[in-house]
Amino acid sequence: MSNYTAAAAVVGAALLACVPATAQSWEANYPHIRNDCRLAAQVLRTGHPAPRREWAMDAIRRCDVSGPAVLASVWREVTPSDIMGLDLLFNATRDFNDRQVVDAVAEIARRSNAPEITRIYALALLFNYAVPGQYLDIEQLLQPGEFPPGISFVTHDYRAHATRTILGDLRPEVGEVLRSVAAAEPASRVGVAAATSLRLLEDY
Amino acid sequence: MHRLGQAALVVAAVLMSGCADHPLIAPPATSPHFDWGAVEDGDDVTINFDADATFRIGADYYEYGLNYFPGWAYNPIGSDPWVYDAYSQLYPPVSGAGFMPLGIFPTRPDSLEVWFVKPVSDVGLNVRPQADFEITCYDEENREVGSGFAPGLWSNDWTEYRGPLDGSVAPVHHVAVPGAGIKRCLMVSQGGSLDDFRFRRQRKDLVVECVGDLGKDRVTRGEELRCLAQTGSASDRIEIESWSFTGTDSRGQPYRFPEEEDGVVTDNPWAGTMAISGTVTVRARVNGGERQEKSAEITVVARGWEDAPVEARVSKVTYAELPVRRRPPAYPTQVRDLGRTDFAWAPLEFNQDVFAQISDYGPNHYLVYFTRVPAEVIARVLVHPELETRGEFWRRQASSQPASSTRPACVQGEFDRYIALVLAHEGYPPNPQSHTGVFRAEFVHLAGPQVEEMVYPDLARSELAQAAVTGMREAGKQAFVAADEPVDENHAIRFGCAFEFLPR
Repeated sequence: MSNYTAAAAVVGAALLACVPATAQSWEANYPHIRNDCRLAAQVLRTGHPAPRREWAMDAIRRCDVSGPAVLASVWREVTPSDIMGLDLLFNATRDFNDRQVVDAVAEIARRSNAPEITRIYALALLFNYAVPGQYLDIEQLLQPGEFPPGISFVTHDYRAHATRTILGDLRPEVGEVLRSVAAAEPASRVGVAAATSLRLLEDY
Repeated sequence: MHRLGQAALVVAAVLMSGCADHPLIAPPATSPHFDWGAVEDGDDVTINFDADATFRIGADYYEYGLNYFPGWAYNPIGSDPWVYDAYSQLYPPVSGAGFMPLGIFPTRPDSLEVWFVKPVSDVGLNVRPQADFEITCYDEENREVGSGFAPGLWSNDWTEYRGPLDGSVAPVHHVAVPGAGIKRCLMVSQGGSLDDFRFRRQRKDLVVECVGDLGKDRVTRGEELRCLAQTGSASDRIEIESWSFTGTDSRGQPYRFPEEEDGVVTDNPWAGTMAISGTVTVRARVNGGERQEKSAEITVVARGWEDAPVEARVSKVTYAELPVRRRPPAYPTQVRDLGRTDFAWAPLEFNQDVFAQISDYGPNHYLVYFTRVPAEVIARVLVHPELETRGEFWRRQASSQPASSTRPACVQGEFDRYIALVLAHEGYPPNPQSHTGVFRAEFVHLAGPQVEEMVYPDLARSELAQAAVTGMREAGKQAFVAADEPVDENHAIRFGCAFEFLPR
């Protein structure tokens, strides 16, 4: 089963495993989803109403048309600096294999005046784009210990698996970002996290 | 103890002057050099002396005595038989690497001075059984270990002494006694004359034999190896000077035990738990003889890890318990969103539960190796809450099978079956066709060999832990690759129906 079509909104799924990414746009075809996307964009860009933030971060994942631009602007302009907000942003962003998003995340990773924690999340997300399906333990990046951070995996991460098909191999590009951050700020926590991520990336 | 006095020297001089006609003394052949490199154990040899020279004596030669023996002439009590103790002679016995020939000449001063000799020939294996003399040799416990003349005692060498003062020359007869464990010899004089009386002991070869659980020189990592220095004869006395082991640890660094600060290991057998391959070497003397060194190449064979116990903590979690960054959308939009497993592995605390430190003063003392895969697998299985809680997603499914549908629809009444299928596919509990089951099996399969070869000295424990983490990270990556899409492709869930995914 390969296509989601408007007519086949009833998406038959004989097999749990065999569903690739959607080829048809739900946002373009269903008004109520477009409405959700507009509302989610407003909440994410303005931060209001705050209680809807979690809902908006989830709703934006279905916005296959507007989502990447919204998330790119969130990364650049209104990046959260709390763990929950960053986790949600990470997860929503990861659903999109889109050049706008990757560029915005890389920009934040390099931006020396961005909050430290935000930049470390950006580094971890870039790592995930470069090595799809593998997630650095951000807590360990934030508090480096004796061992390098663990790496987790998750099944059915089909969006991550599609990354290389859509964006190509991002390892060289991400490696360059990590390398430049590590070199520019060797003593900072961000620089250390970049160097650690780079070492792990070079294992792949 | 036999002592040569002035009177004896005078007698000796008389004897020497008459040696040319003695039946034991044959004219030497001429051969100015002797090739020690051609000497093999058990050979009889002729020594080519050079004045003022120092030279080595073959490794299989032990000099127990060197004496001028004018038997008939020197018999202070005037009776036969006369017993001569060759071991406790006037001149110090010569042993080890150097051999100082001695000579007795008419002009020799009455002292312990060692005289030089000048060789005039090398003589081949000129064996002459001597019936005139009888010699009996004893070991340290005074047990007889060699006696008789022919065939045990024979002459084979002829040399000529040249006195340093007057240049006089006298032929010398060498006598050898085969035997084992000789410590002293007694000779019963029946008259006659012998110069330069040497006792040679037959060498007993040292053998080192190491046995592990896999047989000779082979041992499984973590099992004991026993090395025994022996000769094959229980009566031989083995004096261990030292055991040692050399090898290379997992870092590629040389490993040696014992080092100087560890002291000398003299146990026999030498045994201990093994972790790396290498060479066991023993230095020992047999029956008080020269030092011998023997080695054995030991191969340590890797353990199998197929059934290694790796704890897998597989839990079923709620949506809120799954790390945010790896949650599916709150409302499922694809079949793949209905179930998810978050995988990780975590290194176990690096303590005695996961590694063994060898501390038995055996060949691999101080080395540390893993006794188990130092990690646990963590799998958190999620069934999407929209499938479990009969919420919006449940309401969107058909309550009964539409009559006109060409494909069966997934219906509300079958949700328990769908949940069971998702759990089985994700692997809660693990099964060989599930994500968790394959991940665990692959992780063990890959991580076991990764840590198997990691053997470091105890001082490098933290380095060892780091290496283990690196190795297991690689194993984790590969295990996930095997447990992710291949499981979906080969063991897909067959719901047998189609879900309605479009959110309201």
